[in-house]
Amino acid sequence: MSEDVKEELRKLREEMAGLKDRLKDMAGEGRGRRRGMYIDFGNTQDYVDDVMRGVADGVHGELERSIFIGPGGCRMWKGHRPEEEEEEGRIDFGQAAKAMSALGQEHRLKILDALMRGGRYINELQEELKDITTSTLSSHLDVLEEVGLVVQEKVRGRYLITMPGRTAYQMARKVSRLLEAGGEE
Amino acid sequence: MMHDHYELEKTVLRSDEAFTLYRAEKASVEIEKNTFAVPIKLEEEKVGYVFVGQGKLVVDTIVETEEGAFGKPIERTLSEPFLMLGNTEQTSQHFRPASYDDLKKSAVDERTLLDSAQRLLDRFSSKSAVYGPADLCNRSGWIFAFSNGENGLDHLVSKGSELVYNAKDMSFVSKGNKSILHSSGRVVLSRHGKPIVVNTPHLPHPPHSCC
Repeated sequence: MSEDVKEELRKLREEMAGLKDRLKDMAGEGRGRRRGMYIDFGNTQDYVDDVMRGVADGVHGELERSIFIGPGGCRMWKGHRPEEEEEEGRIDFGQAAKAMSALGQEHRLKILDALMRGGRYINELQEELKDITTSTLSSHLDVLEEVGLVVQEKVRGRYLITMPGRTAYQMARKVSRLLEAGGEE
Repeated sequence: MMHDHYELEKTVLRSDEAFTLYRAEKASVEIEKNTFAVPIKLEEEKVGYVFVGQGKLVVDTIVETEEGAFGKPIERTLSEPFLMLGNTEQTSQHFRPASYDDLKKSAVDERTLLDSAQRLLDRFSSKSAVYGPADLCNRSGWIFAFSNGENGLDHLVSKGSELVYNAKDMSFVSKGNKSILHSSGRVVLSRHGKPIVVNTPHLPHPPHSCC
């Protein structure tokens, strides 16, 4: 659970405690002001207490299992989070190897780099990547598309980088920077 | 608004050439040469066709976001009858009345063809809540209905830059810089490139109807 969520829960508990105290005070005031008349705040207090606890538990549960907020947007899992999220250690070696293999070519990394700046038609890619011949460019795009790092629109024909493609590119950039820095950040 | 006043003209037409029936930024529908068409009328005005022959549907059900693209294009061969409501003027230029020989060459019986077209229109009228004459008669929108092989219909609806594709296993909506894809237990929304991804393994697929 993130620090933000913990902080929210801490505040909620404090508010709950404050409300309890306020109810006690009110009960005291009531007895004091209205002599001869006794209002039983005990049950009301228990009731509010239960409701607040229920709300807090509900919020806690929902936050705990449902929501993950990422930097570029928001991802939510209603109910149980998918297995792969729970078992972060698991890896599909075959699929990962295919993706890594597709990445292991300088021209393909340059293609991903161009697509990181937005969708491109093939002629735009050719214009940007002059050191790659047309036929080679097409075959590299086919490889990237086959492993799911790139997708081509069929109507307009633009090439777009996918979410795994962005992640792969960022990973390559990170590795490159680490190596440049001699293995240290 | 429901409309069940669509009627078929009892005329069979044939396409002289392959051509693109509809093309927009994210979708296209093409038909092959020698495809047959039966005009659909609404209050005596021609508003569409049922096509019987070969065609191709392409929809780029892809949501572009700052975190990358989600989804894949749909490419589908249309071998079952399908229906179009919308601009008939351009389409009619590619058709001429089918002769007995045309039907014979394609091994198609006219009665059988008209019956299958009528069955599709009936299914469309009974299952689709379609925004009717106002939009269609001023030629500002398109509605396609494709048989999905399970006695249901997949729909492609387009008006201007807005597009909705609703199939048995997915829904896709694109409107300006907003798009939504609901497929494989996941809903992806994008607004100005900002993504919201909701994994909803238990969320039922949207009701299979149009609009």
